[in-house]
Amino acid sequence: MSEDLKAFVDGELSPWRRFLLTRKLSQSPELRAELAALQKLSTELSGLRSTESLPADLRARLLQAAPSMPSQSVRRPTRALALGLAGSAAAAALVAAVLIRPSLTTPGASRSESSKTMGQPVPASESVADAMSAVAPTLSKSQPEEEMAYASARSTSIQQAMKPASSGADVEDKGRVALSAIEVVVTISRVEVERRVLLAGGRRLDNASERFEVPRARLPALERELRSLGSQRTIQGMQVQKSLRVTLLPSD
Amino acid sequence: MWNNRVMVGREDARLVRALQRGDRNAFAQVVDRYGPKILSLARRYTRCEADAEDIAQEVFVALSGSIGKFRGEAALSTFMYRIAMNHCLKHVQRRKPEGVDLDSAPLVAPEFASPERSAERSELRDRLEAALQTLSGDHRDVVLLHELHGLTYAECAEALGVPLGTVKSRLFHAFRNLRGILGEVTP
Repeated sequence: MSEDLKAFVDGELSPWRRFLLTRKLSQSPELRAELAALQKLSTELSGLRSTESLPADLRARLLQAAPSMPSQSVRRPTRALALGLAGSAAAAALVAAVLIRPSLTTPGASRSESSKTMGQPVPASESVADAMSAVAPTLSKSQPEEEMAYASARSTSIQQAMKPASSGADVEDKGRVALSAIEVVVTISRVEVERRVLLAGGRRLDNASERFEVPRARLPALERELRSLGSQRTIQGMQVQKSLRVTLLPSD
Repeated sequence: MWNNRVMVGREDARLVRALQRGDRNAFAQVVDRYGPKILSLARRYTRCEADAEDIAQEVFVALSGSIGKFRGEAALSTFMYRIAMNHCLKHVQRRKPEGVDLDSAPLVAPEFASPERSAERSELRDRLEAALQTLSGDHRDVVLLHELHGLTYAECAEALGVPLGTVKSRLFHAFRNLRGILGEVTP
């Protein structure tokens, strides 16, 4: 096989060399067989091309990098090595259970139940503006720059997530946008377990136990992720026991 | 094919001008056009979705920061692939084990593969994926860009920062290796 033959298959050969190679091909069955094999492999490889579209939440994050708003850097906090917290890869065992409060699935009806459990009411904002003000504490200037960037990105995504509710697209949620806080306590032995939780929760955990806020619009996705995680028995072929303790908390 | 590239080139030029004016709609078009490709490429160099998404995000942030300096020496797609490759290769270089044997992990993390997708994945795809992973980094880079992302030799050269002849040579050797590997496992 020659480099020219591959370039010929790819349509990258100069006219003169293509002419020469064509002559050789007409005289050599072996070369033609070689050509056919190369074409076949090229075709097979092109079958690996991805046709997936962007996940909606990622698209929203990418859009925030628009050049007209260079100050709105949306870098999420780098995953500092939280992932070592689990200790060792050998310890594949996690503890616990997944406790997901009903309010995750039935936002409107569960508030009172949540209040009973937690002893505090979960505040509900009546508008996007109120909801944003609920997030405002996370934008405190006392936070490190990176966290500020993240908080800014998060508040924007929260705003976007709430658009359907505020525009009346979701009748049940119309005019009632609540922010809830979720406390996620995770004991992790595998990187992937943590990462999946982080993806659903919209941020990464840097400690084994960390509380973070999740806009209500994202709670169903988080719930699905956690439930999926709860039913997963193996990760990369390793038997694992997962353990997440998830509790809805009132936002403060 | 040529006409199509000309059309894309004109569209890219229009997008670049709009981006340089800070047009957010143009940026959204670029995200929609190239975002999936960049994410797909990033997945090849990472082992989890979070890292791939981080890279995609870094690429668009970098695009945002550098588009003002872009003078159209290359196609916008090539410019983006070059940024993407830089970020992907940096990621590979700085990747450290995190309590997981990364060397034994597949290039495409299992979490990307839903059960449905896994079921649909043919044996051929598996063999091709496995064969790709045996290639050297240089060979795999050029195969990914040319065969899986459709870049021309010149675009690959630009994206990888190597001469065109190097692209041609690497593809030749990569294909020879792939055929050898696939030939060994083909019944």
